[in-house]
Amino acid sequence: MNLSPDQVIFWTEKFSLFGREFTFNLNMTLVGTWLVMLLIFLGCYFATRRLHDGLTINRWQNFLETIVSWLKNEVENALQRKANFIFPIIASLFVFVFVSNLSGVIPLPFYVPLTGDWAVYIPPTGSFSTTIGLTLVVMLAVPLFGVARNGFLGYLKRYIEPQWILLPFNIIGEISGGVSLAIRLYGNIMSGTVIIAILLSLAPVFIPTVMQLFGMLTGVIQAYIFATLALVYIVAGLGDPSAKEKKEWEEESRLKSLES
Amino acid sequence: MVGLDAIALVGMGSVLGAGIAVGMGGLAALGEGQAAKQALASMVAQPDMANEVRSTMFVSMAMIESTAIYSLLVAMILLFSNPIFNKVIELAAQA
Repeated sequence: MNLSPDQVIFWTEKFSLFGREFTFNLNMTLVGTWLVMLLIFLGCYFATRRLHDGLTINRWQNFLETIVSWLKNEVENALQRKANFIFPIIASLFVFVFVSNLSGVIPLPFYVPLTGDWAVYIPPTGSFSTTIGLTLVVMLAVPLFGVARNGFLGYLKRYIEPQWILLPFNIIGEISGGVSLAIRLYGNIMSGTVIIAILLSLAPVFIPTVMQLFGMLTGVIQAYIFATLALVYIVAGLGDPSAKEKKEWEEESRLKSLES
Repeated sequence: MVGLDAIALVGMGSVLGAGIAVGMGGLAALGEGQAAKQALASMVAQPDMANEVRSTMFVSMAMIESTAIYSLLVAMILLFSNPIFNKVIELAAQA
């Protein structure tokens, strides 16, 4: 049973660097990630070819504008301040996880030259390596944004927040938050593909389609959850908004509600 | 030293453990049901807050569900890539 797209290896190469042996495996996780990246890039490229600011815009621009304004609204509501600096990382995490999760419904066959048989496409978020990588990005962004805003000591202060005696628990909480972020996404997507593989041998006619429909639903929700939790962790590292930022934000949301 | 009975014992233990893990993970459904019930009740009571309640409910649902996902992962590892079972088979092949 293939539990992970890491186990499907297309091409392998041994090389030595600084006197140590390394093995490079071109596995399905990498190929799948490249495919998803290509899909996102081509989609955004062709959608933004003929941008228009008049009354009639084409449907792709409408679609992208809906997604971007919705995401921006979510991020700013969670932050309670203007979010220009944090929006790109959250939006790219969301879009990548979203497209990758949904790409699992495409039954794409791959020829594996090393073993000489065929393998089915598994979305890259169904691999623990990808989700750990995405989580590392989030866990790096937390101290980076926190230090950039509060200074080094100001950031470290939140680990001894109510009492210094809670320091180990705060550290454990930070680590377990990251681990659960990675395992949640991996477990959801992997279990979807494994359940479909099991059902294909039990009831191959109609039932896997229903499960795949359900998998699309969980995929969308998990992408939303991943982005939201990343945002929550980063906001926790930033601390409360200052009075000035709060005032600006309230002014802007008042203007926005007047507009609508 | 490591004979057939050891392989049978470890295999039986793995399958039993996977079953217990999935069964215990199902207990997370109780918590999710509670969360959904409360969220629905408050959405009906205050329809203005429905959007906020819904997004908070999704996040907390995912948090609760992660315990179930952990037990599912443990069950998957026990069934499909069990390190202890592989080790026992290796030892049996040597003996």
